[in-house]
Amino acid sequence: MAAWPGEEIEERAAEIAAHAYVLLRQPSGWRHRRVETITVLSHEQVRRHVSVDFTVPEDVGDGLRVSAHEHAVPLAFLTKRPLVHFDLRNEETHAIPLLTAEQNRMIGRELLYQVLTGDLAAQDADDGAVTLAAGPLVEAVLGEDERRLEDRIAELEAKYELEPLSDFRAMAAVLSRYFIVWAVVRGVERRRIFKFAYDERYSQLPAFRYFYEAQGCTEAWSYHVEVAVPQDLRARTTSLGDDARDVVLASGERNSDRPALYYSADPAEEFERPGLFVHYGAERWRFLAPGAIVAAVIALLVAPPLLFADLHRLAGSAGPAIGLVLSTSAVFSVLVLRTDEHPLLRVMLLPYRLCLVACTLAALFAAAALGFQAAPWVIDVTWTVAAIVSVAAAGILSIATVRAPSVRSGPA
Amino acid sequence: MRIPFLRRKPLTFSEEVARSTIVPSREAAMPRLRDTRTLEEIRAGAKRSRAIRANGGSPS
Repeated sequence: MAAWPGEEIEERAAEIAAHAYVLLRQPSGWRHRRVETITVLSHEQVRRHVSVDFTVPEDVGDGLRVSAHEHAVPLAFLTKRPLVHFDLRNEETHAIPLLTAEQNRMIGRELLYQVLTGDLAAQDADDGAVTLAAGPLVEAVLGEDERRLEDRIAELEAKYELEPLSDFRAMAAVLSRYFIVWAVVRGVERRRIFKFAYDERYSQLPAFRYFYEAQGCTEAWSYHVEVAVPQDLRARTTSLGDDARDVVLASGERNSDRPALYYSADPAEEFERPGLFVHYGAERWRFLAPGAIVAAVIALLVAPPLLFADLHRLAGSAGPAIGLVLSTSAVFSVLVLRTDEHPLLRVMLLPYRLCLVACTLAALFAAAALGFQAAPWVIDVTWTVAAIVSVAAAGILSIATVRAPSVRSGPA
Repeated sequence: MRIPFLRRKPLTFSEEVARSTIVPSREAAMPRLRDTRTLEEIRAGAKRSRAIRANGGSPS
């Protein structure tokens, strides 16, 4: 009687694990290229799109068979925590099935025992006793119980007087927190490109500098990473590096709206904390330059009259007309204060918008004091405050404009 | 554009990261293992390991 769906995997778990182990040990040997695109959804959320271009070697492919025409291919290690908007597709954007959690555990169990066997093969040990003693440890790893994992492995080593089980320790650490993404593939004999994507949330710090962890940069022969920078923003600097070793591996174009980096890792190279550093800036001509111009015009309308004109006399003659002129500044401010933009840009521009709002309100109060022919001291105070606020706002916005990246200028 | 009188020493990669918002990855890299056994050796080891588990400590 033919095996039911799933039964074949149960029977073949050890075979699949052995063949996958060969693949996983040398990811750059069969994964040609890995392309990661980071799309900034908001100031607290990104979406990662990952495409994996691979060819399963002929001598390994059959060992990964899970049914007559399907093979399980290990694409990546993903966290066991729930993934948001996870999606796995092939070249034709058709959805691809994954192995179930139980099937994943079956193969994971065999994989852990095989890694343990590798560690024991290099030393003179009672592999029967150690294998049995490691059983609860293996089940704890698969059961997501990572408590005292290190200590429990150390106890096993001490009890049987073993050399450090370094491979087993490393594999157990990964499989206790991550699961293998087993894509069920039809047509494993040819070169394939599979794509997966998921969202990530995080807490934004005040500075608009981001470090996107990129553990996958060594998981293929070549690694390409791109950042889809939101409209009206620029990536001032972009660099791929390892935070633990303080090294830069590749740098991207400056002031780019879509920086792209390429890196090809040495197969023996291991990074502790690889990632992509991106420093964003608001595009100069989106708000900052128009805002600086409006603030400068308001400052010119307020500061020179305060210094050189007799405001008290003007209040009696031309006050309403001057009030009308100053009120028009509010119209221009509203034009540059529109907020139909990307959430990250909105957060980034908030302090500058507040500057322009303060400047405009100060000018309106000064105009109102003159227009309503307020008491002389009220006119003095409102015009002095308006002059200080507008000059300060113009200064802040001008400096921000000069420092902002722009598509019309060269690298900063 | 550089602001006059405002020249600062460039930050190192780690210094930049220390001031950054960390966006975690849901992925892990495959650990680099010392094991250099061939596929056939791995399969033989797996067979022995399964036999040990099936027979409660003895491979046969």
